[in-house]
Amino acid sequence: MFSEELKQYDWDATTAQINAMTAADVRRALSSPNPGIEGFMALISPAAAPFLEQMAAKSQALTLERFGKTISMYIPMYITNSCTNACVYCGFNRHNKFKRVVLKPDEIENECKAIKKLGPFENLLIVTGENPVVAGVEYLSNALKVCRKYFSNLSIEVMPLPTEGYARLVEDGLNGVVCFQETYHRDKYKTYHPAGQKSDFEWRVNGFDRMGTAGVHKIGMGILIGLEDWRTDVTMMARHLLYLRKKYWKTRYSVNFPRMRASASGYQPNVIMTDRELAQLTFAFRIFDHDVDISVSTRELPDFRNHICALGATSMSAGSKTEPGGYYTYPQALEQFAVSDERTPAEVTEAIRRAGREVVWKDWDKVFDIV
Amino acid sequence: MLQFITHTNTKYNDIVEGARLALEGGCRWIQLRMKEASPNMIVDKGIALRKLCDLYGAKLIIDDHVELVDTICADGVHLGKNDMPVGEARKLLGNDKIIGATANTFDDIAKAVAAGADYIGLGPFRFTQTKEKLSPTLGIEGYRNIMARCAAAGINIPVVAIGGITVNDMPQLATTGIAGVAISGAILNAPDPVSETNKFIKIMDDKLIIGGKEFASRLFVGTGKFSSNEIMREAIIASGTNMVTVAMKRIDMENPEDDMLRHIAGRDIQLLPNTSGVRDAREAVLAAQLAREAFETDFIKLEIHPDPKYLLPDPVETLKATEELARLGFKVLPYIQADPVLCKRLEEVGTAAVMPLAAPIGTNKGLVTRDLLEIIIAESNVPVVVDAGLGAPSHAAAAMEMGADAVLVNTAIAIAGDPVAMAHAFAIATAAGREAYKAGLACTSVSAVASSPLTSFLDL
Repeated sequence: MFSEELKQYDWDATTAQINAMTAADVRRALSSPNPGIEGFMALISPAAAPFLEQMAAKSQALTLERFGKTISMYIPMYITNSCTNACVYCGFNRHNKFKRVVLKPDEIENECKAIKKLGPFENLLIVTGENPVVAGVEYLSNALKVCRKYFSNLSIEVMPLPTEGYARLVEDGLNGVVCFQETYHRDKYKTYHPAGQKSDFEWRVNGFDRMGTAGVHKIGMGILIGLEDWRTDVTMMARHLLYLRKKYWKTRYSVNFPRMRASASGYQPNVIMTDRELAQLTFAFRIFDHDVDISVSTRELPDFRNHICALGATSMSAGSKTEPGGYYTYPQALEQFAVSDERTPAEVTEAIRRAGREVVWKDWDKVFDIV
Repeated sequence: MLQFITHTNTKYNDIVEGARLALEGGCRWIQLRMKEASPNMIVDKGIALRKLCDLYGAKLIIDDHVELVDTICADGVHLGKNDMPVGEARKLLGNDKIIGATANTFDDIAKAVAAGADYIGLGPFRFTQTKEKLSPTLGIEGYRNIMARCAAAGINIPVVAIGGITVNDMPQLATTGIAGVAISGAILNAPDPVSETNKFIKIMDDKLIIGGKEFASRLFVGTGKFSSNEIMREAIIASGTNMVTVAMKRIDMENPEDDMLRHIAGRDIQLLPNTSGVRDAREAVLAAQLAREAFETDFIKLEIHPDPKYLLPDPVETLKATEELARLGFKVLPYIQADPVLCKRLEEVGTAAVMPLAAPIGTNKGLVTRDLLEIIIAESNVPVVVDAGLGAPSHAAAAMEMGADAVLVNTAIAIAGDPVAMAHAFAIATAAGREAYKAGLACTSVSAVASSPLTSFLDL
């Protein structure tokens, strides 16, 4: 389990190592065919800032080699905002007083139909808060069955489940699981996640092993940028990814670099990451891992997305609503966070095409899931 | 094993403080040496050092003064050539205390071993100020020759090299078969003694572990194709290897005095019987069980090549046999194609290592499968030993530079003009490649870019 592996990496020593990187380290990482974790640390370090253009060129070339001139499209569907956690930065925090929604099967079906009218989406990301009683494995299983009729590839972004939970959902046609560790800082983790199941660091960080064991096809990772030093946190995530790749080698992986947005929690981020730094991180990750899917959500502004789609990103969402029922049932329910790109899917895909990239809607077929 | 010998210099005039720096750097073995001091002064410092060593879980031995060992509660004593004879000290101290003896020659070692020493301080490596009465320096070649003579005589006492050794000597010294080094000046004269100690430790800790066993040398050697068993034996010694493969079909397993085996046995060498000759998994499992009985080892090199012409391994049968053998408690090292997926499947069924081929066996073509080996090395959770096809020391170095954990060489050594010299050449090439891998290779430079066409959108 990764929680054991993680113990060998000291947080402060990692931070110090990143900050000690020099221009020579960056040059070495840029010229190495496989820069490894140390090269990655050099590329995200402050010393790499003057090398942004070279990094962009290398990231672009590697992305073209592996993914061609394509961007895969997905859309999130929130089906409940009911949550027993109290994450200090999240709009769904259980202490926030607002009407909680748990979509019923017919409502989920209406959401599916509404999404299909927005664009020919085939990759659906089903999102929930964490409430195992009203929205546990049984509920998710039913939701997957409804959505299968409309989408060829189904992912979930929900609370970490036991291995059997993942295994059961895979049988129901689940393809991918996205789970953000938020932070790998073991000691600080609890101050951001004081209550509920999510306050258990080990349970969350070992969730990825459980996904791998259950045979989930694709695992999505991320840390929430705005909590701890992002450079150290993404280094820990990169180590986690290396560990998972070696252990669960049949699985595909994706990463996402969500920057904290305003939410009903009113929480202010501890650290701010600039667009320039986000670009640097995106390029560094591509140079570190040529095959990982890098996903850029509507948290980011249109101009940034219009450019990053040709420099390293490989999948994007569009037209997203971050409130349950937001596409049809409850257009006014409380959203998890504010989106920055409110363009329609048609507008987004047009911009991606102008950047010289072809939009891919369907990259999977249900037939692969018939066991 | 790193032994720190206490001393003072202009910067550190307290030997306890000097020892503390070495302990802080990871050293766990201190020798208290105060050549000109009175017994009272030695006891004084010795008691302080004992406390410090206990704090770090380190061993403490005393130079020369057998009579002070009990007073200081030291773990033992180190005896120079002019100190009390080893046998006498053993009588006084009993069997629980460590006794080390200084040696300059093979004969010194043989004598000390006969008298009951626990380890040998062999030196001097080079000329040094620390020792006032100096014997001729040994250099790398001296260590190699003496260690070879020890191996030939069946002596396998731990030998610690001593005398003016610096960090830069370590990679080569480590290939001579020594068990450790004793350091004095190199540590306290360094700008940062703690990190200097750590450098020594890191080089010595860089051991390959397969099936729970440590291997100092990353060169494995095969035993086929030599013109005589005597040359094979000398080549094995010159290679510094700790892992030697033997085709069980070549050995008379009923006969413990088998000529070939007799020529391999010696110092720290793990025999790795191979199943060459079997054609499928069932035969391989039977052969492995016979080999376990005959060689008294769980290590088995699984070779299943049903085709007698190219000797290419059968991946399907190899996977089946690995699973069964791992279940039976074998440490399986399968010889395979450079197939990354097969490596992962072998890992899942419990293989101890993987041994992908660099080129068809016996071809001496070098790293023909380089691209696939790179993937295997990047993705593997078990040691990767590049096997077959390495024809020159430069091939071995290149494989090690890529990050391979070890290489196996047979033909290129056995059929060389001078197999013994070639074995030595492979040994230093393998060590050099490992060093280069750990040092982080420099790469071709990045060209400068004047304008910023890709990232100018971020300038706003």
